[in-house]
Amino acid sequence: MKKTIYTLVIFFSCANCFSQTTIDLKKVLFEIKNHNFYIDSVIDDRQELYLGVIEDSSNKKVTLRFENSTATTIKHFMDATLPKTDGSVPITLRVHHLIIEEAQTSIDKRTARVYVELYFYAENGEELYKVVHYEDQIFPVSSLTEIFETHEQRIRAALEYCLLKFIDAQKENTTHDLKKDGILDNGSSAKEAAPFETYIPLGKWFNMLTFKRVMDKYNEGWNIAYTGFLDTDKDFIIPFVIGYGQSKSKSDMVQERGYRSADSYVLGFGFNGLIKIAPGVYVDLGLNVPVGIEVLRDLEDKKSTNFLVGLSANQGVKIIPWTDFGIVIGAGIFQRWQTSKVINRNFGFQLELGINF
Amino acid sequence: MKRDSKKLKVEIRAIVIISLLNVTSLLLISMGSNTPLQQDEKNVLFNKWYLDTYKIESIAYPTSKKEKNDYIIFKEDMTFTSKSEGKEEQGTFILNTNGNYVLMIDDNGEKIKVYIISISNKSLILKYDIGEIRDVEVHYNKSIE
Repeated sequence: MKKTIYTLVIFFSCANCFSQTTIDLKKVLFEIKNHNFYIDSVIDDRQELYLGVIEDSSNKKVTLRFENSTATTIKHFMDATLPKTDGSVPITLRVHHLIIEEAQTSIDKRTARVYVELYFYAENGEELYKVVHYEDQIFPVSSLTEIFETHEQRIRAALEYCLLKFIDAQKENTTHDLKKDGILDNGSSAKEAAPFETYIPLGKWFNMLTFKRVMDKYNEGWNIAYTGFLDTDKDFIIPFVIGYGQSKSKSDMVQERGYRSADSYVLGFGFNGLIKIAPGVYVDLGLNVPVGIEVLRDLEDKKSTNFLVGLSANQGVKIIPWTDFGIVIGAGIFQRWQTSKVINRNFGFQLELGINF
Repeated sequence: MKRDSKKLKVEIRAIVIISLLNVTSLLLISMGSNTPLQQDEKNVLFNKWYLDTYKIESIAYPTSKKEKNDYIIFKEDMTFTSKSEGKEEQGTFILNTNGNYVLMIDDNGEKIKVYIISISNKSLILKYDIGEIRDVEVHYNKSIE
């Protein structure tokens, strides 16, 4: 019995761990003309042993690390490009951050990224230069194999970028007394970054399928929707939403208006804005244009249709307790105006339940 | 029943062919963008390149009349001059050999990352890392054709 429990404990602890994959940097010589320094030593100041947790080509999460230590790997890379020559100045390189990430960042794109923070020191310990760089590359969402195979290349590209920036700074300052550079370099985007701000992780893309029960004074209805959004702590999140819903008017109101029944079939286009107030808790603000058709039957059972178009707004709260996979719970109120022959102005509340994946 | 089975076979074959085509194009893209630039290829880059055509998934699209004689010159002093829809622009660039890209920085400090998909003595294929045109191959030739 004890043996069985022991085996089960071992099995479940192993199942919860990520498998490991190692990479090494390819030796690619890139020419640096007239360099007057070499990298004497590389010091790894990072807290983590791993470079990151990423998905391999078969969608499994794996931890990635260098085959040798990070310091040795980077030293070898630098030595190949900047060999020690007579009169060249020794430089110490400190690696504060080296992080590999990849995540779905839009409905059809996946971003792979290397974040690197390097400090260059003179022989006397003086800090000469520091550089932060995000090496981003955007792929189609299904390109997991290509992303997995190119993490190593992006690390090389990021290191080369940092080295070139250091050389540029050195050229600008002929006295060798290089000053600190407080610019956050982002090679892939056109925006000018803030001075040396802290590392911002790559946002996670959420896919959600939800069912909404909608109730108000005159109608009862439901709505199913797909919502996709890129999670961020800072900005107003504008997700992509597409949904389908049906609602049925309560019979007495319909009859007051001279109809036996009134059914509406509506597609909703628009945006729902989310504001993250805590991890997994979002304030949900929406503005939608419902477009569809209203099928009416009068008291003589004569069928007629009416084109529906309108404007609806909603306010609520959405809770997503588990980021990778789990349930979504939401509640809110809404206001709607539409070209209905039965009810054209409305106010109600909605309850939402769904999954995120 | 036999007709259904034949139809199913044709559909399966079509799916297999489409999948193979997708895998092949993925491999070609990977080969193009992962092979680091060699020194002689870097020297070839320092030239004047005339815009020839656009390609999306191997289908060629002609350039517009406005883009006639558009070009890009990469100089050895790491400056560039380009003509886009008749409008000239200048700036500096960083050539990242490991990343196979050129980071172009114009006079206003605006940066554009441009991946080098392939380069030869006669032609240069680039992909601009800009939202809507990210998947478009921009083909340049060394001379106007």
